[in-house]
Amino acid sequence: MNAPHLHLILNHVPTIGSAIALGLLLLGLLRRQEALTRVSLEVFYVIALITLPAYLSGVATGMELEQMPDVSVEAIQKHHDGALVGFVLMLLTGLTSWLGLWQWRRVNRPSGINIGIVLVLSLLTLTTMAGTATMGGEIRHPEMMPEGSAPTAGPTWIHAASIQSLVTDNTWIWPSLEALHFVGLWLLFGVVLLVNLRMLGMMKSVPFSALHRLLPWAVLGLGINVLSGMMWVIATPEQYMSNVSFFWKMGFLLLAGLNLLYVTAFDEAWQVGANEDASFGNKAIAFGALASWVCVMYFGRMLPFLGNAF
Amino acid sequence: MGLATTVSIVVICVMVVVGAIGYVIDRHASKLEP
Repeated sequence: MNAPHLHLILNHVPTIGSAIALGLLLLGLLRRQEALTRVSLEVFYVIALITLPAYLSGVATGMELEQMPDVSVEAIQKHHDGALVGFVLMLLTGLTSWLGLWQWRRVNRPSGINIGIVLVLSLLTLTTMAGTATMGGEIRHPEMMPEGSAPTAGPTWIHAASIQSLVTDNTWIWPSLEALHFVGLWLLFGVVLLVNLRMLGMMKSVPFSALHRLLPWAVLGLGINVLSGMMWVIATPEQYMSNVSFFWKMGFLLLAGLNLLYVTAFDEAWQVGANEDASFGNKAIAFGALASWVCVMYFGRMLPFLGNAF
Repeated sequence: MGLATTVSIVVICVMVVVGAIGYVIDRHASKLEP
């Protein structure tokens, strides 16, 4: 499987996934079923995670398509600009959904403000993603446009090419991103390490719920790293898109991201009280999570050595 | 302004913002103690 194949598989997930999650959210609110509303937040978070490989495989596909005759580079760039806006909105929706799940877990009831923000963000995301998907289709399928109609317009206020110039033309941006990426990494890994070591049986006098309170710091670290990482990918895609180490890193990041949802929202983890032992299943999940985060760091460090970065 | 100074200022500013967001969430969390 190559990047275009992966993109063909994943490119519908952000649009259709957002629509399904939004439908679940509306249904949960209309029927006053909290369980359904909670599932919708979980689905938003998972869709945000899957949007990452959907976006990255799209960048790699764009680089290949640009080399082909009869393909409009302008159409590819427009699709990329739309995807960038949609991706950021999807990340914000996923982040807000995660925050809602975290708060819900702590007080056992939803936050009306949080649900409202998720609703607005998800509507914006779905609208943007639908437009972006149409732009992507128009690159290779002009037959989908009604005869004589103009191609779908892309965003005019943001361009991936401008971000690329910003990062490559200003010498202070790259090292600043490097420093922030490391700060974000340790903010994230510090909390994740504590939470998962507790599951594995260390610090038994501490109830899991006490460590659960620290999780927003881990997600802030993850946010810093996703944003700084995205700036690098946009600035120098050729360093990442044919880099085997980068694809392993992203794969393990998705696994580790799913673990973050598990420790945030699931009952099994939350119920581990002071001086209690976690179940074997929880311990296996904690071990897997730590291994995944270590692999994320390892393959990040190995980008220049296993792949062609820098 | 040198590169090291610029990078340091940028990193400190971002960390202050991130710290402030984390602090606000943590204060909120203290009200949500189970």
